[in-house]
Amino acid sequence: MTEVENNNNNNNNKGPAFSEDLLRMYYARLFPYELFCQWLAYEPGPSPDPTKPLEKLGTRELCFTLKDDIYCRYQTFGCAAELKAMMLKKMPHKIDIGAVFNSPMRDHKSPSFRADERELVFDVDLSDYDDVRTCCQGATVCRKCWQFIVAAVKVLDAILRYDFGFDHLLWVYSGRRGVHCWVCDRVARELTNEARTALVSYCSLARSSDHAAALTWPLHPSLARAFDIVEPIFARDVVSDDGQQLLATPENWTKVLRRLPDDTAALIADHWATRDSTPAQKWAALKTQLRTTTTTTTTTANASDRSAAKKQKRAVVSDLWKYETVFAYVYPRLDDNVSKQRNHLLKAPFAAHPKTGRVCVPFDPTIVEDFDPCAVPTLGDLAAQIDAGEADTDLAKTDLRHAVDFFKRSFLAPLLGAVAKERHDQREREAAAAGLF
Amino acid sequence: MQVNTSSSSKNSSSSAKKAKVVAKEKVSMYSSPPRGEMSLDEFEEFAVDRLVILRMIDNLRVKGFFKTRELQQQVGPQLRKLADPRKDEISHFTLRLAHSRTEELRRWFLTQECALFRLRLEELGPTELEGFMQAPFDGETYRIPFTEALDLVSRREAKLERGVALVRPSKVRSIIVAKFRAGVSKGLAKASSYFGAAAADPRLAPLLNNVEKHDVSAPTTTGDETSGESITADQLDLLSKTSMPLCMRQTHDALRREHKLKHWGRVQYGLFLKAAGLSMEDQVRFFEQEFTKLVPHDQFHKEYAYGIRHRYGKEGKRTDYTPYGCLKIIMDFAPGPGEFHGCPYRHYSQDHLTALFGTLGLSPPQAAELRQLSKSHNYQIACQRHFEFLHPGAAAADQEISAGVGNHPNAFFKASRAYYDANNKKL
Ligand code: SF4
Ligand SMILES: [Zn+2]
Repeated sequence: MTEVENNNNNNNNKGPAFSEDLLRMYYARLFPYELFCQWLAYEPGPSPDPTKPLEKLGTRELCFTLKDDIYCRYQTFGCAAELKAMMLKKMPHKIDIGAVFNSPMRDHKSPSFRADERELVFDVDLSDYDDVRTCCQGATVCRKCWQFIVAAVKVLDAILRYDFGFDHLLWVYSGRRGVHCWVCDRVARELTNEARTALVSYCSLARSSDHAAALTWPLHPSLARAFDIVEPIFARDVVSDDGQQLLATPENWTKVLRRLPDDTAALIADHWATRDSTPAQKWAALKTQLRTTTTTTTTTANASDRSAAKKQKRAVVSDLWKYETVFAYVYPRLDDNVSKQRNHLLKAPFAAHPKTGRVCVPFDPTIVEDFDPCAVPTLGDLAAQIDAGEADTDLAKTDLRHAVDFFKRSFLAPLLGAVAKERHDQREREAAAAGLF
Repeated sequence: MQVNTSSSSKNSSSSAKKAKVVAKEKVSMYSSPPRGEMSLDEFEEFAVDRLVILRMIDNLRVKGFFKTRELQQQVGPQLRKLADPRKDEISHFTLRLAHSRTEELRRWFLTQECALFRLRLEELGPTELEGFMQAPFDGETYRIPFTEALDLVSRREAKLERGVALVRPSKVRSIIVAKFRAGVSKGLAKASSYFGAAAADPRLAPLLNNVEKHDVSAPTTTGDETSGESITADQLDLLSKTSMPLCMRQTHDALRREHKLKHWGRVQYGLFLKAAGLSMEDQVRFFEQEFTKLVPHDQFHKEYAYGIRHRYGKEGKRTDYTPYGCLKIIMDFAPGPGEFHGCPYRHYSQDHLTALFGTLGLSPPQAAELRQLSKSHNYQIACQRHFEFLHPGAAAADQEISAGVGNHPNAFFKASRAYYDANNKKL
């Protein structure tokens, strides 16, 4: 845990990004305990007294990883003040959030101890894209490969909102090379493991660039929408010279053409070898070419005309090529184990990543393309900003205030509003049932 | 007997209502237990007839027959025994109670009942299926909360709109099965709470207790592939090299190397080991030793140990499962990515085989011969030749010692053991 990646640091702080002292400063002066607890307690109303225990918190698991990778599961806290005291005492290098259980943590060895409720969570990490990113490998990340994450966020966000009807999505930078999503709607929190598994499978396609998922016609509306979302990203950031260069060198583009019928591939390769065109033009040409294949096919209303029907089917299948190709690169690659189990742990928002020192900040998915992981403040940056700043509060002196503000205004307020409304409706129903109306 | 089914839907037209009645007569959701009197003999006879069918389904599924059509062919003729709705209901509820005793029994019963239910649904037409549906229908699709259509959701077979699955009538079967499953599952939980009281009745006790040991069929014959001797887990590493055919050697090595083995690998190798004379306890220990390098012990016991005991006939239904022969392995056991079962001669690419032969200590001409045989689709002959390479002086065609090599992995194993026995004696 000593080695800290200090690459791409846009900020001016020249000291370390992460250290025991910085962590103490962060836990003592900046970590937003009260908002954090308000969220996990799903407790609407004015900011609760930070020393008053909140109902849901008592059975929620936190897991701390201390210095030297000492693992403490089943940590529990009742209110913001208690959480703060605990964190300052234990100084966790990592903080993970678990499930809400049916009884207090001390019962965790009991056979009836079970996870009752848990946000539906997703984890997308660039290390799962190593076979398709050419700019970086492993732990490193730059703005070029961040576009894979942009694509994943946009597709997943649309699926969760439009297909599943979830409204309360918290997107969080994972501190290094990926993002997490916390779906906090009641329905999502109460999903069984079985339902989570089905949902994840709905969101996933088989991965890797050589094994494109075999799609079938007609394309499911969710996939058609995903294509519309990611195709521009593919055209701009994957094929291009200043992106992943997929159609910028013969060596790379043979990989793409390999998935076409041999004669077609040869024809295109010959054509490209002799003529100058930009990668974007090449991609546009591929798309049009394939479109022609489909539209020239005879469509017949006569169902008994077997051969025509067959012919059309074949052409349509080849039209799937462009979808399969684009998806092989930019369709979200989920770490599905994280999502399938109610009691899977996931790094808490606002924790700091011990390797990079960067804070896991919430961000706005609608402008994810403007999010720069390399500009996220490290603990070192925050300390420097506090020293130099002149605002009233520590938080206001730092860049962290934007993320905290966003969390509070765009995520927490609507979420707690919905909880309040739910309770109100519930009370009315009960009152009506009791004959009070 | 009038069977009380689920609450009726409000919006069904009279023709739909009729279809519904017809459908429900054919296929019950078993929403509430039948009332009326019955004799004790009937009670037992009904239950046993159903148990035979459920075990038959289980056995077929363990052998790899999952498709409804395949199951229908085999089980179909038996279903006539349950044609009488009264008998159908009584036997279901009796067995539901009997299987409510333990978690494993509950799971077993639920699985088989769902398979049976699916088989019977298959015979219903669209109008009849409509009788089961209560969700709003707009003439084209049903609107169903996605949590009730998980099967379709996971396969992306329904369009979703803000949490509602739009399900075409042709896809409703899986919705109905899911509902059935949920109902029976709840019913089992409830039954378990009064199991004790029912089983205390001396007239019912014999059937309710130990239903899993209830013998309902003639004992299964043990295939003559079964090796007479017994072997132990610590011999396996050696035996895999001296005496196992290539298919089993591959699953063995994969298990040792990766500390895991996917379902069909476990089935293929596990049944082989059983017939080769490895005790159940040893097999559990052997798999546990590897698997728990990756998964916790309790997960191993929850997810894998059951399957092993099941294959020894010690769980669920109590039949002995027989190991697979070459034909089945060659025809039906193609491994997918990350899987290691199947017949290498049949399922591996030439490159893969070349690499594999390089590790077996074969001479180049021997490797070339095996490759050629595999290429010309003579998989089983390749296997016989491999046997001969491994056992100099033994001709695989020799009836005495090695009949069956290339027909059954256990015959290969048995012949090899006999070979070594004979040679040791000579020494
Ligand atoms: S022929 Fe039979 S025994 Fe030989 S490797 Fe193939 S499946 Fe195994
Ligand atoms: Zn990069």
